[in-house]
Amino acid sequence: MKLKCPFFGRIYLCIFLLALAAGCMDLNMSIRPTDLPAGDKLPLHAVLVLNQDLSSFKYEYNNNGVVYPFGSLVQDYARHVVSTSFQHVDEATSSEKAFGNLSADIVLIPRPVKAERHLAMYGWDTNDFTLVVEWVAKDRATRNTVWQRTIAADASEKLSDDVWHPGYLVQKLFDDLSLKTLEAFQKAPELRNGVH
Amino acid sequence: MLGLFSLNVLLCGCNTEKLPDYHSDATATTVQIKREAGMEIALDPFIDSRRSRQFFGLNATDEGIGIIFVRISNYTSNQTFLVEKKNCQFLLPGVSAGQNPDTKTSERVNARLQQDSDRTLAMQTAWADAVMNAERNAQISTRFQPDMGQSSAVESASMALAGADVMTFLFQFAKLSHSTEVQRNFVDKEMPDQTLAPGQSMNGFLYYVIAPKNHKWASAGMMKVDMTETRSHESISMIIPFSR
Repeated sequence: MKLKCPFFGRIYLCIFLLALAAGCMDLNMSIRPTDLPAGDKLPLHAVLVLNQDLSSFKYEYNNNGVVYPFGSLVQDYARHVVSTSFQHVDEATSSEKAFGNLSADIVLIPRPVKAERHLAMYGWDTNDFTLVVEWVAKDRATRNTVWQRTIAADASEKLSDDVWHPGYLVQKLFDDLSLKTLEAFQKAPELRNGVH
Repeated sequence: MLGLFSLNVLLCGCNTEKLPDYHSDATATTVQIKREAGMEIALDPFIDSRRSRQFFGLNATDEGIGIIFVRISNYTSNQTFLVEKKNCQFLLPGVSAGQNPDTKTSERVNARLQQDSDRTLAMQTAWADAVMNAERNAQISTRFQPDMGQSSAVESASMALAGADVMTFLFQFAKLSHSTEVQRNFVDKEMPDQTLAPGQSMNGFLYYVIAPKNHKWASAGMMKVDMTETRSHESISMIIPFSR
């Protein structure tokens, strides 16, 4: 009996490709808005800046051509969290336009900093995703930075689950990001005590 | 064959371990603390390779990376300070310009680990070639010496080659898995930029490019931290040596 030499290698190659395919399938996924706890909204009129940096943000996994176009997901997350946190929200496509909104108290500028993903090796290991987003709140009148936070969101999913449910990991990632951002807004004394 | 597979599992298993979160030990002898104008800064340079391997998955000094754990606390009663990585400069005696933190450390580390992966693949391929030659020789041998247990030599060579194939793939995949975790971990633990209101504190790691790649950076180095008060825009500056 002669064994086919690359047989076992091919099995593992299939597993590897399946794992990568999970990333590929993420490309066209959509996620549902995170369920955020309803609380007291901050008594401020905020202008949310949704600029080009945000809308074009993408993460290329390990330089191997697998791209996560996170732009629209990050925009939706920013809208959702800010509308849940502030009493009155407007949007602007640039900081300059936001500062031109004379009735606003603050200008909120989210900026995606980095994303990184760990690819698990075995079915019982976890795939891990980290996404870092920076938030800056500026006084609309003086343009001074009054508050700044960098939110690092983490999500883990067992490789075996990630292969069959590729959207779960990204959903978990944005759920963690949304909840941490909401908490950061709510706990910011600079925002809660008013800006001026 | 089974032995080779077991070896792979063992070797690769070491590489897929998730790197743990770091909880600072304020009593560690490597921690330097300075308080000024109501702001307190504690620094803990990761000099020993044990901690570096445990929390970052590599010997950072050998990679030319200086890792420093930083904790900043605001004990003022009514001032908020903006703390940014770009204002945390690494100073060495005799060097006039301070060095800003390296924000591309994770990408550089990943690229370096991928190079290792390529070298491993080359070694594995060479080994697979050697096994293939052994198989060819065994086939020739059985053709001319039919009484010597023909199929067993071919089978064993084929199985060895199958093992080599699996091993090559697993090593490559383990390296990839490990490098992605190391890269993600560097990003996850990096100190954020943020404002600190009275009573608040923050912590995280800063990464610097060090040369030469030895521990001298920690014994002679200092860190200069500038923090800006958000209302008055006045800055306070603190210089903290890494060792007493």
